[in-house]
Amino acid sequence: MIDFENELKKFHPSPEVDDVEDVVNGHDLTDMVDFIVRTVSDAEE
Amino acid sequence: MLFCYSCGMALSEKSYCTSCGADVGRYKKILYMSNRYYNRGLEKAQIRDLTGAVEDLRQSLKLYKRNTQARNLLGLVYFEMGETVNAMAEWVLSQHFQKDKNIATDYIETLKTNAVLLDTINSSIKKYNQALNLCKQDSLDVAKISLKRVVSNNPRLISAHLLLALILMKEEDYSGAKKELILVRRIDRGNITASRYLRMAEENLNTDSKRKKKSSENAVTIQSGNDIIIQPNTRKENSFLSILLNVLIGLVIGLLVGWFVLGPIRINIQKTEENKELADAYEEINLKNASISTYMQKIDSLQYQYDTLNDQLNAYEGANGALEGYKYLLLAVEEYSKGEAADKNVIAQYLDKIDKNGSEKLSETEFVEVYNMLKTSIGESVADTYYENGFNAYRQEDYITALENFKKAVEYNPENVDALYYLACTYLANKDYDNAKYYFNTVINLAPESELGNKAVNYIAEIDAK
Repeated sequence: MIDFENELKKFHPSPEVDDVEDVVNGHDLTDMVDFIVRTVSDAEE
Repeated sequence: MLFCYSCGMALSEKSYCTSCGADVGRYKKILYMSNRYYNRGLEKAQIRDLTGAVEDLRQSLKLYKRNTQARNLLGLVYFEMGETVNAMAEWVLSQHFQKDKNIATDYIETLKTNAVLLDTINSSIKKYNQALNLCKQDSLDVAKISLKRVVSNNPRLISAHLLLALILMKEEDYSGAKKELILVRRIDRGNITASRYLRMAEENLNTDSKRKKKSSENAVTIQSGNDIIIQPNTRKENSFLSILLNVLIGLVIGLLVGWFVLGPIRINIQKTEENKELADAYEEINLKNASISTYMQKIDSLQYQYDTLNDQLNAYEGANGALEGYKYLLLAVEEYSKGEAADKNVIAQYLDKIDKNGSEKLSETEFVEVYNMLKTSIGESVADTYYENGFNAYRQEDYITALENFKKAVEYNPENVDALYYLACTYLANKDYDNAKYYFNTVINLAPESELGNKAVNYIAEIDAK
């Protein structure tokens, strides 16, 4: 049986069009390539 | 074609960059893995497993954020799932990483130019958020009505379908919930939440149908030991009395059904209608609030314009306004136009009033020229009058009046040596030595050989001695 209250907690407000800038700024853009480049440059130093 | 992360040159099959020598072995592996995840994501998107596609594409971007194809596809998948803002964010980032020859630019332009579509999407997102809030406040009826409108306006919004299905299941309307969940599965086959809800809805529907079937079977079959007695559905009633009794019982049951069953149904219908009206009222209030906010902004803007114009008007009108200055200038011109009969002192008085008002307020060049012309033409004559008045006051030791008149005399005729000399003397009497020295020096410069010039030299020596 579904627990309505618990299921409801899994729903979150959807970002509105005005929030696009916040969504873009909120992106974590660090990728594995950044990590490798940093590791290589640290090793060289 | 792969490019070196260090120098940007094209890479060969070697594990190091042939241009700068950087170790690119692991870098290449990461890029290959990123592409692999992209391919998997693409395959999943093609069979409409959008949830699975999102996972793979995000993984691909976590490995290599500049994978434009993966980012654009992720945006498309988000858009298909009704998450337009996330889609736009991905396309904006894609544009940031690759400015030229990027399909994301077209996607964004399409959305930007289609204002109606964007407005509908945004409005449905807002209503979904409101409905979610209503659910949390336990106003499920209003939320349900609102969500039905949302999914009708924006059928892609998966979260709205799921929330509506959840409410319907809470109200034990499993067939309604099933319809919503099937719609979700048509958009996204891989949606785990939809699958879970659907399984539960189907289980409950099966249980209900079994219960109904069992109760109908019980009505006709009675098992007694090893014998099965099949009871007929209708019984023959021969007695008129029993028919009458049955009719009476039927009437009583009918009345009771009317009282206990139809009453609540009627109340329920009424309540639903009221809830619908309430939802409409909420919507209307929101629209009116938005209109009020717009009008308030317009009022503020108009008030600002009004204040600005009022300030400008005050600058022209009023006792110290520019109009006042123009008025005195016209009066001065009128007096001047009398020719020989013109009283130069009267003209001077008008010009004085303009000066007190601030002659810089005569913003038009032509008016300034007239003002200067008048001042020059009456200069010497008026300067003499001021000098005489100043001299009389000086003799009576009224240095304040004297100072005012000598200043005016010098203003109208800056080469009036007598006025300059007595202006310096008045400053000296007022113990303003700096100004006194300045004007004595002016006298010396204008008339060095004169008597006043010699006197001025002596006074400067006296001041210096102090």
